[in-house]
Amino acid sequence: MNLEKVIFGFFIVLALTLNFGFFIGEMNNPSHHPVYELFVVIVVNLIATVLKFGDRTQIGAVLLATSLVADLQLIAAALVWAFAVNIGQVGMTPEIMASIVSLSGGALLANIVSVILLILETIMILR
Amino acid sequence: MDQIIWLILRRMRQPLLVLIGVYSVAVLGMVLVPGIEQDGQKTHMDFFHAIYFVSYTSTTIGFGELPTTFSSSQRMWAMVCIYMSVIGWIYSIGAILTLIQDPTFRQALVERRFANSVRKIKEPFYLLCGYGEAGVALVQALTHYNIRVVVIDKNQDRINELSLHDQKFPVFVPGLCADAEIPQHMLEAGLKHPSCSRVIALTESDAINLKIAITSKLLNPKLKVIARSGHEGTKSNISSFGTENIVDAFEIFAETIALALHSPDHYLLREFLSGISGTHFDKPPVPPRGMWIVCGYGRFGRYLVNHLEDEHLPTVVIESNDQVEPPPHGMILGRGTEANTLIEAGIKGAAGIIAGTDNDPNNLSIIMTARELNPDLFIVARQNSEANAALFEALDANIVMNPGQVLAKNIRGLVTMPKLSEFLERVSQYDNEWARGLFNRLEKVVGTDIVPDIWVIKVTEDEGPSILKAISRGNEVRIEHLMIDPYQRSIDLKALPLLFARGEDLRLMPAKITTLRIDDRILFCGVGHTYQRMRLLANDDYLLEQILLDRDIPRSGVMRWVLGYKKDAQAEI
Repeated sequence: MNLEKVIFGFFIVLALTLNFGFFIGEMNNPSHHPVYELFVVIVVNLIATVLKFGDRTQIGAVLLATSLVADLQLIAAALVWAFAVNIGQVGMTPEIMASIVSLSGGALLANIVSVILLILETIMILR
Repeated sequence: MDQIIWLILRRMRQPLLVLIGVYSVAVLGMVLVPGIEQDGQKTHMDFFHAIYFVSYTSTTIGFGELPTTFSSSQRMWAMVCIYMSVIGWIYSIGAILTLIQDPTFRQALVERRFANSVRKIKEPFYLLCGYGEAGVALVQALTHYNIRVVVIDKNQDRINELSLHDQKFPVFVPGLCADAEIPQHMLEAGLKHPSCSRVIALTESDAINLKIAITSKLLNPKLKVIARSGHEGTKSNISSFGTENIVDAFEIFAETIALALHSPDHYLLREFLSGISGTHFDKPPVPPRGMWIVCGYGRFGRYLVNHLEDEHLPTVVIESNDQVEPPPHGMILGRGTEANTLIEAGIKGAAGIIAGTDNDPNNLSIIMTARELNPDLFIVARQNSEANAALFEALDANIVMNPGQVLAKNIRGLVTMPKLSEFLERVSQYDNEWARGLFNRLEKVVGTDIVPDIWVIKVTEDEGPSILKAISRGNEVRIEHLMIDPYQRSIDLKALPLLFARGEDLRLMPAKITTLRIDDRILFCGVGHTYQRMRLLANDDYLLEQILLDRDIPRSGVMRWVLGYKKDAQAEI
């Protein structure tokens, strides 16, 4: 019962599940994608990334890479949202919502790969 | 490099987690807490402005309450944010500073920088282990010839000294403080680097030198190894696995003294040709034959006594240790620093004295006492520490022996002029008269004030292309052709051919009319710009052709056509 592994796995899976939760719903309907959820997704993804630092194994390097990809996409989504609401002329439109959701979809894929790698690593240990 | 990044990432985990946690709590709070009511409507900050506010608050910039004035509840939360986030940042910055100052981290940085500067080296370099007195002298000698050296030494002070000396060296000498016994450090210093061509083990411990030689032979067998060793057992051990050269300062010096006694002109010749080229040559003092007093019967004393006895010269040994095994015949117990010991040894009738103990004050004292008793004595003093150089210089002894200098000179000769040792070996088979004759000839042709350059001309594609081409065309090229000044054909270059090699056949002092063939090698010595001129001749077809035809040839094709110069005029030779 390794506490470090529990925390590690917890945050990685939490990142994936929250991300999925944000992503699901009609692509261009803002009421399906609350901003608070995006906030939480970003925070948990950042924590998961930092937890992956300093792992010298090969699989650790790939895990860190996928996490960084997810972070990149999510921060891009947040920037698009902030830009649209505060700086753009029109405000939130269905098209902009669609691009935010698709970016988070990309992050979702990266998180899925991350979890798959985690599962593979666990199975390898069992062997 | 990855090791350093890994170290940084590992250390930054805690601070980064703290920052993320603090930021997210602060931002969420700012979004949730209601702002000032407008038209009866609760307003909230959005995430964008919340992040903006928390950013400039936690870094203590503090623009103010933007975009709108805060309500009281917002202000209350803002206070919490301030204390949390500023402390969070201070903690993180503190963690970064600790990391930078961490000795492991700094050592990793230093090693990384050293390994990088070694990796960038493109020309052949030597790996030197041990920057003691011999090492310092050797690096000075090698860099004088623009040979690159990489240094490892276990002692940090010595490496610091290296960076101080660095200003004096014409090439940059990378140095690392590391234990050469550990193979990893040897690898970092470039043991397996494709440009590393030699390993020189000069540490003070025979055992470590042995380990270095083994490491080198195992990890990179093509490297030549020179190892310093004092003890017979270690010497045979080191040579058993193929170490090319084993140097022992005491043995080398004793052999030199023996040579000087046996055949003074050979000694003179050797000293003249092995000096640093271009420097002024002072004729070294020649020790006289007669009775010698040797103070100190350690390894140095033993070598000397053995060689002196081989020369059939009587010796008297003064040694303070009565346990010495086996005691030499007629040994006198004492240090040699007192007058009565020296008189007992027969100093009034001695030809020379050698102060060969491992203690510098004793050696100085012996010499000073001895000189008072017999002012005509030939004095040889052993100087153990470079720090006492001024004292030994003031002593005005005939020969001062410094083990470091002896090793450096010997190794320099080995690596920069290997052909010269072949020549000197051949020469040693002739008698003293012959050597004197050669020295006189050198005096006439190149002068004996300045140590000459020594170089090899090879009739091959990369080192003597013009000679090769001339021979292939059917011309007869003789050694005397190479000794003509290409810019002034009436003048001979100040050079002397010393050794001639064709295949396995070696010939001393070849005749000038010797015809050259492909793959011949000639060892020359000369002064001034003789070396450059001859090198030029060996590479420039046009200049060589002028000499072979003994007339001026127009350079441009147009002029050749105008003057009707034909290529087959060469048949005249």
